Amino acid sequence: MLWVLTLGLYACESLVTTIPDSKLPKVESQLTLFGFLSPQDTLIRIKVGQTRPILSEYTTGDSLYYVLDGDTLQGVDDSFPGATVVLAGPESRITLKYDPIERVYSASTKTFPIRGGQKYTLTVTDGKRTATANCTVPSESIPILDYTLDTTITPTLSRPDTTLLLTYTWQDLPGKSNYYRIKAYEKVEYSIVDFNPNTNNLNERRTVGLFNFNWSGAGGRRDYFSDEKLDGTTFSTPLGRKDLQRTQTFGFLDGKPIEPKEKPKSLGVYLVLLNTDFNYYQFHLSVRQARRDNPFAEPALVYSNVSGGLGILAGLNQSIRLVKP
Amino acid sequence: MPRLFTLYLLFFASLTFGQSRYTLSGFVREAGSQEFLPGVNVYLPGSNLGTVTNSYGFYSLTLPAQSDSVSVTYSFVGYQKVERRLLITQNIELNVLLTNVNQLDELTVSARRQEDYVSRSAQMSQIEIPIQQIKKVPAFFGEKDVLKVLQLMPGVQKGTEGQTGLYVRGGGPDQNLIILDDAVVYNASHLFGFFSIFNSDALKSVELTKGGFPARYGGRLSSVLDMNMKEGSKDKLHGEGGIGLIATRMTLEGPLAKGKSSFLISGRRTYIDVLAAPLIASQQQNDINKVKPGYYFYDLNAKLNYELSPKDKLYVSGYFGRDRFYANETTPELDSDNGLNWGNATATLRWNHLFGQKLFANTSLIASNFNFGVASATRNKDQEGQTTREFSLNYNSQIRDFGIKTDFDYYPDSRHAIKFGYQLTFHRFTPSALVIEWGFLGQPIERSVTPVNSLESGFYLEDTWQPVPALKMNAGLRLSTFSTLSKNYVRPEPRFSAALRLAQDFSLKASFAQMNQYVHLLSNTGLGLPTDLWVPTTDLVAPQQSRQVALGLAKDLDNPALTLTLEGYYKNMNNILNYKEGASFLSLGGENANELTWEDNVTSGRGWSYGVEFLMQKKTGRFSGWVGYTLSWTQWQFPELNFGQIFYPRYDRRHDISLVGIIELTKNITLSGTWVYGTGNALTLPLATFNVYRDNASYFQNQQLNWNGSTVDQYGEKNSFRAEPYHRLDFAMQFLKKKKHHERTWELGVYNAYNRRNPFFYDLATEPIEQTSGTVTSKTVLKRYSLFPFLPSVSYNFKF
Repeated sequence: MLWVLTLGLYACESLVTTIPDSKLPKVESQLTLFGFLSPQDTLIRIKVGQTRPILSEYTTGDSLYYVLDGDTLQGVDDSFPGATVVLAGPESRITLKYDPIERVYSASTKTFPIRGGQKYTLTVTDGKRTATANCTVPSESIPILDYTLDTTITPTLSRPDTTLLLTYTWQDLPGKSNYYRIKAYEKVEYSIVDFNPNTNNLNERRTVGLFNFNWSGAGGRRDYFSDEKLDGTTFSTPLGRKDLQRTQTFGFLDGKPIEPKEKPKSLGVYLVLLNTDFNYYQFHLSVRQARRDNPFAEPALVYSNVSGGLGILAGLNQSIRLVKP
Repeated sequence: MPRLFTLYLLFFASLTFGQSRYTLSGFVREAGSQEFLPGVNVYLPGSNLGTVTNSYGFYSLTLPAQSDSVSVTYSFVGYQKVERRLLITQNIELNVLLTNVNQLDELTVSARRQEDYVSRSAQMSQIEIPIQQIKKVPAFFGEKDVLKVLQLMPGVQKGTEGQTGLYVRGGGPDQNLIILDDAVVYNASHLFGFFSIFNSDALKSVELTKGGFPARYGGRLSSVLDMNMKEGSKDKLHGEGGIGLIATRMTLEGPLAKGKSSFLISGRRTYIDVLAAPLIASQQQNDINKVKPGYYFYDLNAKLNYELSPKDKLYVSGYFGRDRFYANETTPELDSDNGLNWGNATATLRWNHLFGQKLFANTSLIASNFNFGVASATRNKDQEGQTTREFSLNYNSQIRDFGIKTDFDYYPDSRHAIKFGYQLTFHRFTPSALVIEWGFLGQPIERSVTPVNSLESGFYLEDTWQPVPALKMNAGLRLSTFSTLSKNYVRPEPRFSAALRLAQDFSLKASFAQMNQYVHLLSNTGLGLPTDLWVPTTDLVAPQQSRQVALGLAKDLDNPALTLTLEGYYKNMNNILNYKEGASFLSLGGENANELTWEDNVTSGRGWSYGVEFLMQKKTGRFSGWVGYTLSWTQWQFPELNFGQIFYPRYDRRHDISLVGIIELTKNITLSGTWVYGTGNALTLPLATFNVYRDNASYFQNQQLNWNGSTVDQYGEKNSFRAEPYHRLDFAMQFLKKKKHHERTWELGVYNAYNRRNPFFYDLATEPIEQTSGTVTSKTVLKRYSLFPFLPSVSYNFKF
């Protein structure tokens, strides 16, 4: 009996075993590329990167993670210079240049216009690896039909907030598969106060920013739509919300909050409707599911239309309606 | 439909005219306890005339008049055969008693103690395991478990290490219709799936059907596990019990009114919490903070029966089981009570009635309930002990059934055995209700899902028919319906199975079955966790449907008394449900936790499974046991999973082998062993990480363009990583001693005898590696977590 117990105790010791490398699937780093082509954009931007095999050695400190809104964001060192990035249209092609500030490959649409209904092929190579993807930009931009824009007073813990409420509608193109994304933002001119602690001087300057609406509705947050089973019908957005821009405070001076003299000024609300291809739709939905914020969640695969690598090249055609204040 | 029934019955009634025929009928019981015995073969040797007792021990055999006396044999596995010579010149009512071979003193080892010829029955894909054999197979910690023994049969697989869930022919553990005395059991596991809720001391029979389902069963896609509780001995008070490392159990049974009624009551409880409580208390004696954690489960089975008249019998039976996991904390600042609590309760009232010698009826009233709750209450207090703040969280999910069913068994002549009946079940689902309250913030969060009521029904007719001596078939039709508030589903389900005798005790079998399943289980983990959620078919979620064909060969040998079966099957499943990628039962946080219902979290697809199963079984003798092998493939295709590509679900298993042997070394010592092997589970393993960049993530404010990415994992194809194969060897040795008034058995067992480290799950871990230059390098490695190493066990059992 004793030897049985001894053996039992010995057996308990090593219930966790490291799997030797030889039994692991062989994984090599792959190129990644991300690009969204739209006739309305002024710049073509392609983000190039690479995957990092998980089961490999790496030095800590080469990346900085922080978490915002449930997203794990990688803030530094996602630059990838030195690749050859070529975008080819039906008639011509262009080699994109690396922009070290935005850390993307870009080209102006003045030199290489993006046109609706046309197919584009992107080829990225870093000498050893080549990744390609193609997409067709939807031919039409779909106009926004009607909209409602109201305000409501929301009670909060500190002081009441004024919230802008927005909805709009559009007519689906009958007889073909369509995918949409909705966006809306308010363009606001507002003040920033710089405080110089050496001189106690306050310097107020004006800047312009875009402030997005958040979409919420019965089915959770929805900003992507497909016309499957709804072909040809009129779509409407869920309720979009955005707090009215308040005067910001910039720290305290002698116990009093530092506030700018000039109040924020709305330059208008922009309603944007994206008529996207399937790639755009599927990619964004899959990324939403793949975010790693719930340990119980099923593993989710990120959609890719890149061969020889991962990522997305998608096409979209936008329409914008401006509601002036 | 009723008109069809009438015509059908008239047709068979007419068969009885024309030639003088007489009916032999009665009940078969166990000698001593007077328990009714289901499944007893009653036949005339050397002829094709025969029948089988129904689940209440009743048989009826209509024979042409015979000039000479004939011999009628009653045989049942584990019992001594009985032969009666009868003169069939009038209707005869004959009740027969069979003696359990365990009650015989000498070790009678005949070539074949029973005539349980698989090749003679039309039913295929069916497994029957005698309870006596279940008690001899080695068990995890000595806790005998019906479901784990079934996992050792071909076509039935286990999920992960130690789990009781059954995966039958590519189906999930939710696709098994588990019935205990006519009541459906929803969550059949204790202790997070490591033990099943069925106490084998209280069970009389266990039967698992994997395919070729008779029309009397319906409601699940993959299997029917029909279990009946013992009635309780009618002769004298008997008891049975045991003490193991996990639980103690006790069963008492005996007569109430002599010969008329009897009772059975059986209980089981774990006791680790009771043993650990004083230890924990003494450790925390001097601590200000006191924490009381604990876990226990218990279950109770009870049954009463009463014989109103020779034609009428009443049975009342019930099951009640609970699992509770708790942690109570007391500190100077707060009192906190937290617990998980789940369990099943079932109750059945049955009435048997005999209409003459040929028609038997049973009506059952059934109630079944499963609920799962999480409760947490925290009270913050000041130095005087006054409450300063209160917090409470309550989560509940529940499913409750009320049902009625009537089954008729009609035996017009020796070539037909007809069953027909109906079943109505009222379901009430409360998938999840969450209430969070803060004492001072006021505003409680309530996410209550309105209970969903629905009605499920089934009407069936089946006939076991032997048109010619070499062919026996069972043809039937079940009409199942399911009604939600605004939608009715009506589905006909044709069923057919047949056996064609090719040679002596060698037959070819074929079957077809169509099944519908109206209740679904959502499971994140694949473990038998109580958080798995039962949900109904709704307007949006359609019923699951399967079609299965099977073809097989069955051969019975007399010496040695072996049964060999070889079966191939193909099954397709439609509208099976799974969580969407990225979804979970707990949508804590996240952007839409408050607004999503379970229907938004699930997606439906199709699956198909095919394979070959081989079984060589020896049910009796000094050496008994079986060899089972399954070669199978299961594939799924969901439009919303794996981008619509076909993939292998987690429990796709290419090879599954089990060897079970039981040897009676001497009259009092039994040695048993099992060895199992199974291909590893199909898992999704992260291969690489990369940053994904969306088209201007919309909640980034105040920036025109933003190239900050989200870090995601690259998984490759869904479930493309295979876990290492599972294999394990167990032994048990039983030492029996018969004393004057009782007998006792010591059992020593070992689980995982060669200490195989089987995978339970895999996880990534980062291991730092110090380097000379001073920078710390890390390496991410894959770790295998095993659960049970070599585990010895001991238990003591007694019986009187």
